[in-house]
Amino acid sequence: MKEKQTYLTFVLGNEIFAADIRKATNIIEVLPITKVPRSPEYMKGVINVRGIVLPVIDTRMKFGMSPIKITKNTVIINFNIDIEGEQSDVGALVDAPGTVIDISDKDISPPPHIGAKYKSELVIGTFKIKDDFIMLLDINKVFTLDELLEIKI
Amino acid sequence: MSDFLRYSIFIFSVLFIGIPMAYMIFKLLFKESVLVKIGTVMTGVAAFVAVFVQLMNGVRLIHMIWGIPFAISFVAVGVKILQKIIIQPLEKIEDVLVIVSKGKNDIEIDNELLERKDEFGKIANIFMEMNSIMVEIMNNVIKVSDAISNSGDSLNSDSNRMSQLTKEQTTAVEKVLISMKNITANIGQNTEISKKTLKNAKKTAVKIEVNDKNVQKTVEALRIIIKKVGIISDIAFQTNILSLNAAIEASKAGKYGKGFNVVANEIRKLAHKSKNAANEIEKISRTSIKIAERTGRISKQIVPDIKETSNLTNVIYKSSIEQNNSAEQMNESVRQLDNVTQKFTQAFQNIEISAEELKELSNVLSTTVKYFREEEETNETNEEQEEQQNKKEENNEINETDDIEKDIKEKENNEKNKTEKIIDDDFETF
Amino acid sequence: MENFIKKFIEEATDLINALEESVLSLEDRPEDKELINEVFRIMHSLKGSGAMFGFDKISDFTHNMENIYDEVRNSEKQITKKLLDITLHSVDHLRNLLNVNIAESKEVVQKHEELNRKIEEFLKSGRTEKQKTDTRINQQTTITSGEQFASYYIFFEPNSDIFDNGANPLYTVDDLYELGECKVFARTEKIPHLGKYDYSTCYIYWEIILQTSLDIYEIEDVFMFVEDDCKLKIQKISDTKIINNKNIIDALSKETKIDISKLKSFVTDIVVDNIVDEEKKVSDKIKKFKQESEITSIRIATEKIDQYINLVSELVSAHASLKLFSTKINNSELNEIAENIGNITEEIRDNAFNISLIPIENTIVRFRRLVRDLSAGFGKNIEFVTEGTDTRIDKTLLQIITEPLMHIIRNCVDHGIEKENERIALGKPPKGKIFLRAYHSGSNVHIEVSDDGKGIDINKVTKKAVERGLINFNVVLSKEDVKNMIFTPGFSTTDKVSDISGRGVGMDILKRKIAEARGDIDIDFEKNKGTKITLKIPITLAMIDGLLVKIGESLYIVQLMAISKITDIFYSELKKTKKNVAVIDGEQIPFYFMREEFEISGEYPEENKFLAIKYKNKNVGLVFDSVVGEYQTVLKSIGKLYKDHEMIAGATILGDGTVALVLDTNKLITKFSDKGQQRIRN
Repeated sequence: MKEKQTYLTFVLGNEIFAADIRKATNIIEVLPITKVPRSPEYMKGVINVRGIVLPVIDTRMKFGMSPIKITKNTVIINFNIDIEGEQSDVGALVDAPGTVIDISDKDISPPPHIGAKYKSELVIGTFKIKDDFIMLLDINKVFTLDELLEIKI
Repeated sequence: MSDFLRYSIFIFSVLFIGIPMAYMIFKLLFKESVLVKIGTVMTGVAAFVAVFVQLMNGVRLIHMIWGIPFAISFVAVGVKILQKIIIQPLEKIEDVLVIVSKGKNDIEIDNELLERKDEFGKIANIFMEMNSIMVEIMNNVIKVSDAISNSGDSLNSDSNRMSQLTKEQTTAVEKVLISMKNITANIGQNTEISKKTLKNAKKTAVKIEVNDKNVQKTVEALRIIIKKVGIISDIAFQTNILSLNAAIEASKAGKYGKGFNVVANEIRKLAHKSKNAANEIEKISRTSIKIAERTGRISKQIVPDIKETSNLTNVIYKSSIEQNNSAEQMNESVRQLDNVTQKFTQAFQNIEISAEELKELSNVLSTTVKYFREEEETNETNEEQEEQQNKKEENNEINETDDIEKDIKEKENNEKNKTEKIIDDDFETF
Repeated sequence: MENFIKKFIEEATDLINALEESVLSLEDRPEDKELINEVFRIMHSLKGSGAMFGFDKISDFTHNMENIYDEVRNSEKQITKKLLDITLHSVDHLRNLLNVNIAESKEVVQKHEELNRKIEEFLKSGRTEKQKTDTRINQQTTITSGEQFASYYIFFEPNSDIFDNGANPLYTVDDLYELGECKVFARTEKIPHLGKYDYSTCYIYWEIILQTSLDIYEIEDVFMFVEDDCKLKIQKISDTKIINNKNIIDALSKETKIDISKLKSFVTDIVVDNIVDEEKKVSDKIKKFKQESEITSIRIATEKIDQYINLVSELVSAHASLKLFSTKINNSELNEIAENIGNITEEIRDNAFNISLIPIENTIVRFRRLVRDLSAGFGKNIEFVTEGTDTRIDKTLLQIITEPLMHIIRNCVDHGIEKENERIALGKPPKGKIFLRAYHSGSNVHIEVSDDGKGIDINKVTKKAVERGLINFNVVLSKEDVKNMIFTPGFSTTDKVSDISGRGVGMDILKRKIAEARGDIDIDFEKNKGTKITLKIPITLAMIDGLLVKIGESLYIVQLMAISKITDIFYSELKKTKKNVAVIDGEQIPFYFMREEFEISGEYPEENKFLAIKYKNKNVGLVFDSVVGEYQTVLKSIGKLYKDHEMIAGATILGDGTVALVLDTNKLITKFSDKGQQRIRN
């Protein structure tokens, strides 16, 4: 029996996702984004985070939702991900920051295989907090997979 | 044929041949003189005496006694004729002179006399002529004196009237003066009231403006509160992020970060609480802002009304001041008018006195002239013809006097007009 | 501990590099005492720190080497080729020993033993007489200058509770050794019987005779941290040196407690003639020691430098924002402050970049070695001369260019310089020469490698090109053509394929490699006179001289070096051109509308900017809305996520805190032309 693990949650549309908090570097407010030409639409561009240039991704679009609308709740979660063996920081635009929760492994149920919206390798598991159904993500996959949605036949 | 016939033929011849022949001779000798008549009479008398004597000659003396009455009658006829020729005209002239001396000039002289070519006739004619001239002069004098008297009268009455009028005017002016004073006082009161109203309106406007400013300030303050609350909620948001970042950092510290994580969680809770509180404050502030803004709107609506009132009052105030000034001016003008009127009154009084004097003078004149007039009047009754003649003349005279009166009236009118003009001018100048 | 080991490895690597450099220099100047001392010192340091961090093999190994050089230092041994060979092998070996991964491998262990054996052999052989050395040193030292020395008596008795403060009086005493020569008498009579001994109590006091050129205040400074916890007496006893006077010292040793007045009289009584020599010798030693112990540089981890650079570039952007704000406010005082801060910031930035740069010297040592080893292999006699090795360059760039430079030098040795007999036949000096020269040129560093070899034969190149089917048979190549040809992939002119060069990957790969460092390569040659290859490398990858250009609201940086000209041009005119080829100053330049290529909405202004970019020795035009101006660009990576986005070289942070992308025009144009071809194909 392992100890409790800490997760960082965030909101996209009306869904709540969670990611291993250790993958997050920090959370920042939205700054002016410089678009990088000839890049996919979901790659919003780059921002200046205290002198470091951080690429920013429209996570909503990545999850097949409509493009993000920047509100005062919008934040960028800076994830440290693994791209082809190299560590790299990526800013994920999310509708709102969630909270930090401690979940023990036994409370995490495996992802549903039938009728899943997202690709199975993307979702590690699910858990419930109060009435909220939270999907636990492999954040690496979010940024490395080209397609997150399960293609429905 | 007897003596009688002879006598008759003689008398006849004396009457029809002797006398005219004597007359003719005298006429040739004395021409127009009374002597012709006297001569003629004498001749006749003499002829008759002669006849008579002849007759007597043949006639006994007793017949001659008869002849004395005849002779006396002849002489009496001769004297009678003389009397008729000399005394009668003289008497007549005397009568006329008496009349004239009594101041009457409507005298009549017999045409007989007048037609006489002798000295009496001449005298009578000259006298008549003189009388008529005198009458004419008299009439003229009377006319003039009447006219003067009349005009003096009218002048007097006019001046009286004028004096009356000026008196009335003075009273009127005095009345005007009094009412002017009242008006001025009223205007002054108005000014005072409008001044006060203005002051009050201004005060109210200022108060409302202050009130409005206060409302604005309140709204501003509330806006600031909302802004600050916005900052607070921003801070809450940022604190939340910060706490999340702290949790992230804590997770990196592994088990050493556990305590830190707890702190971060607490901070996050506080952030949530702050956020909620901020939201509530914002809600309340927004409601307050609405209320305050409504208040502000109302007071803003009042402000222009008050301002208008104030402006209007101001206008009233100003015009009442102006009124006051003009009333003051009017007052002054009226006072001046009063002065002028008084001067007029005085002038008219002077005129009255002069008119009185004039009247007196004309009275003297007319009494003098009336002396003649009264006789005339008595004569009138006596002599209808003359009266009629006089009447005729009078009519003419009256016409003439009318003309003169007209003249005088015109003159007076002119004078009046002049004075009126002067007054008018004075009015104008004031 | 790991950190310390890491640090040790870093330091040791530097020391080994320095050692190699010194040894190679010794080859030219075997009599150079300084160099010998340097070698000895490095060996000594390696020995010490190696032992400290558990690198026992290094410690052992360097111990023997140190011994040899100690003898050399003392003129007991001469510098010989054999010694240098052994030393150089030892250098290689030391590198291996430092590498934890291979230190325990069989080969290394074998080598270790072999070398140790050689060293020992060498130690035993040819030992010269010691006395001879002494006199030599004496002779030498008499020449060196003399400073005014004085002798002091120091009485130092720490309070018994001095340990409570964490002070160690021994260190203080040790510090005195740094001031000059000391004779320390430790008085231990207070130490009680073991049963009564309290480890936290200090029982000892010292009496010290110190002879130093420093004044009394500097001696007092040594006791600065303990002066409140001790009894201290410092007294001058003589204006001469007395320590080396055996009479005095011996006399003092006998005493249990020094009486100062007695000492003073004692000192003045004895007049020693030969003291002068001794004095000089000692002073020299001290001087040397002082020089060695003086800290002239500090070592900073590269990541700290990176961090520093980052902070500095942040400061630069922060200042840019300040400047922006101050111009908006237009307050003269604020402007002045902003300007002042601007100047300081600029200085800090320059300084920061300067700090982040390292001299190319570090790499040059390896080339020296390379030339030495290669020339021996080829049987050629080659001299390697360097100039401007203190020229500094960004360490990443230095890493990038090291391999290409090695390649170039190999080429010089292999193909450039002829064999001795050939050279003599050509009337050249028998010894070939490779000349490496580095110098600054604007914001670039130029590194020239030239040889006095045979140069490049145009005919040979032509022949080869025809053979390879690169050109038609009857084409006559000009020098310029040849220059271009050399950088064509798969072209090499060597007849014989050696193990070192001639694999035909030569120049084209070099060029690509250099381009990676945003540099350029140039070649010049003359038959039988030599070849000169010039590398033009930016000083740092972190900074480029950029031109800030604009399309709509987007700002981009184009490297200034890449631009050959900027022209104002009318959009309507460009629109009219066929196949997007414009004629600028009589030159036909194909061009791209950046707005279209970057899919930026909006229209070009009628008057726009046409940037002619150097691309494959031709010009290619890029059309922008406008040029904002020159911009000293601090280059930052835009992250791995954009790794396929080759046309963006990076990003920089502008004054207002926003990010502007830095365009890699070369890759950009390649990409555009590829797409163009695809388009045609489609």
